[in-house]
Amino acid sequence: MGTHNTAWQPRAGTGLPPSLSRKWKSHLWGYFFILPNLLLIILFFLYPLFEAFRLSFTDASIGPSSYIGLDNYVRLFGDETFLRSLKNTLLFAVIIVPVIIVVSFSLAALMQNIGNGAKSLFRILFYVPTICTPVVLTMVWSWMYNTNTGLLNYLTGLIGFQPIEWLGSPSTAIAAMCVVVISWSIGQPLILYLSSMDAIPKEYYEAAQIDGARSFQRFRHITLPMVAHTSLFVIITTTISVFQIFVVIKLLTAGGPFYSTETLVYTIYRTAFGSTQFGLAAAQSIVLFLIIMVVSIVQLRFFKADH
Amino acid sequence: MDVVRILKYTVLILGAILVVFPLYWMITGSFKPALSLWSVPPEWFPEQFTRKHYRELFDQNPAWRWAWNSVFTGIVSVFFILLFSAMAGYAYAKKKFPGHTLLFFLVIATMMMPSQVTLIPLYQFVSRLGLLDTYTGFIVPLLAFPFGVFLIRQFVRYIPDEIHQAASIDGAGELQIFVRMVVPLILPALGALAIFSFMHIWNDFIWQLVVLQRGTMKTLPLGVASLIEQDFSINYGLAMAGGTIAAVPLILFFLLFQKSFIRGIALGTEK
Repeated sequence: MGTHNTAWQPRAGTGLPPSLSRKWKSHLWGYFFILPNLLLIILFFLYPLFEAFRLSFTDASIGPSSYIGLDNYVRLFGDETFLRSLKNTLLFAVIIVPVIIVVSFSLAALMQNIGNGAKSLFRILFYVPTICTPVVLTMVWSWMYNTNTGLLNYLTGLIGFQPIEWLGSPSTAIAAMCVVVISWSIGQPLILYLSSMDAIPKEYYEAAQIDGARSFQRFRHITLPMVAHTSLFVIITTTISVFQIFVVIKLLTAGGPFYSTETLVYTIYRTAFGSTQFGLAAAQSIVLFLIIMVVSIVQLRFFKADH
Repeated sequence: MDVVRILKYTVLILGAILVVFPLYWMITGSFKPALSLWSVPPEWFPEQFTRKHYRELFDQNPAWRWAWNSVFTGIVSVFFILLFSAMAGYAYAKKKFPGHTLLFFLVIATMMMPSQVTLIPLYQFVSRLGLLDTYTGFIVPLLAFPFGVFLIRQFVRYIPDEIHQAASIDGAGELQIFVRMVVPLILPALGALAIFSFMHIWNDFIWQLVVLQRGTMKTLPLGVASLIEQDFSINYGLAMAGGTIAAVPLILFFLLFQKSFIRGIALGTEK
């Protein structure tokens, strides 16, 4: 060919004006780079999402399925077990999310001004359970909650209580499971709060102190607003993850006694893989999906409006 | 030492103990002979050490295989996730091709999607392809990981355009620019992403549960969970040994790299 070719100029002979051709070459590379990820997203997120919608309108099980319109959804809202599961899921969220926020924020606040060595140590200690697989931690708690041989009943026995069947009745089981989830969930928010508190310039506190503000006032008017965006992030992500609680249910109560401690994800799992009612389970998962979407949007709107 | 300081430290220490105690209990429990596991009052520190549970764990259960499954699938997945996310993140940040806003918005939208809604269709999809109980069937659906694309794109946006132009002038091709220039510049983000995605996959219990059913294909968390699902008396010693094996490597890994770990987490979640 012998044509002069620097990186600014495309190869001669493309038929297009040189600058246009170079631009399109760049675009093509753009498409190339996004292609693997895009294909994966289409195949493993979008297609399944549409398929889940489609399935929810069928009575899919093993073998041939047929369309039954909204029957699954209608059935769900008359189904006591499902409604119980829904209620449990909301209960978990309402209990766990505020507790996590308050606890991790308070711990972060307590950890200001304590010296770097101690700070590092506590940070690691609180984060270690987050590192451990939930399965492992749940297993230990399962042992500790055991009615006959568990540590907790030993401790309560010391104060004179009869052995409590922690996991045997819905109310204690749910409380027990909340404790488990909280114990491994405060690590990450704690780190986020610590790093956003660290980012607050010391001068703000000094100026306030000079102006005569006491430490609580400094806290309320400087610390709190400056970590608001972290709080928002923690609230949203924690809520989403609480809605997806599965491992504690599966390993501690298996949804029992009599389906009274199920959460939405566990119900979906049991319906699909226990009763092989894929259509119904798909409908349940769509309900979960919609709930999470709505809750997240509401949270975003609500908290953004304040700031 | 005033009262406030003492209170502060007390609360912190108590909190730390409460949170870390289950791990201590698990590790010590794994070394206690079966009878001591139920002793009243409980042995706060094992009086007799035994390795019986560990022997049982490895002899009567494919624990090595479980560990290998977790590690292998984790590493392979993370490799591809890093690769595809870096490629896509770079393109969305620097290449303004037609449709890039829309497509990136799509990525963000899928990021917000809870994974349970795709669980059943994905299961059916993998099943129909005959890929249940295989590494491929397990790994490939996990590779999409939209958060990775988001993270990398945010990071790449900070790379000045002049660098790209300078490289172009020097005659570098697109692949060279990507591999030799962009990738080295985004290493911290790649590190954080590696940690995130590895943990995400390691802990994705329900996908493991649903796709991997054969005993030898189970991942470590799945295998360990099966140890406490005996119908009759649960062998807690065995379960604690399993749990220790599953948790301790992660803890050690974390302790070694905790500075970068924690920095990576703070980095990755700064939206």
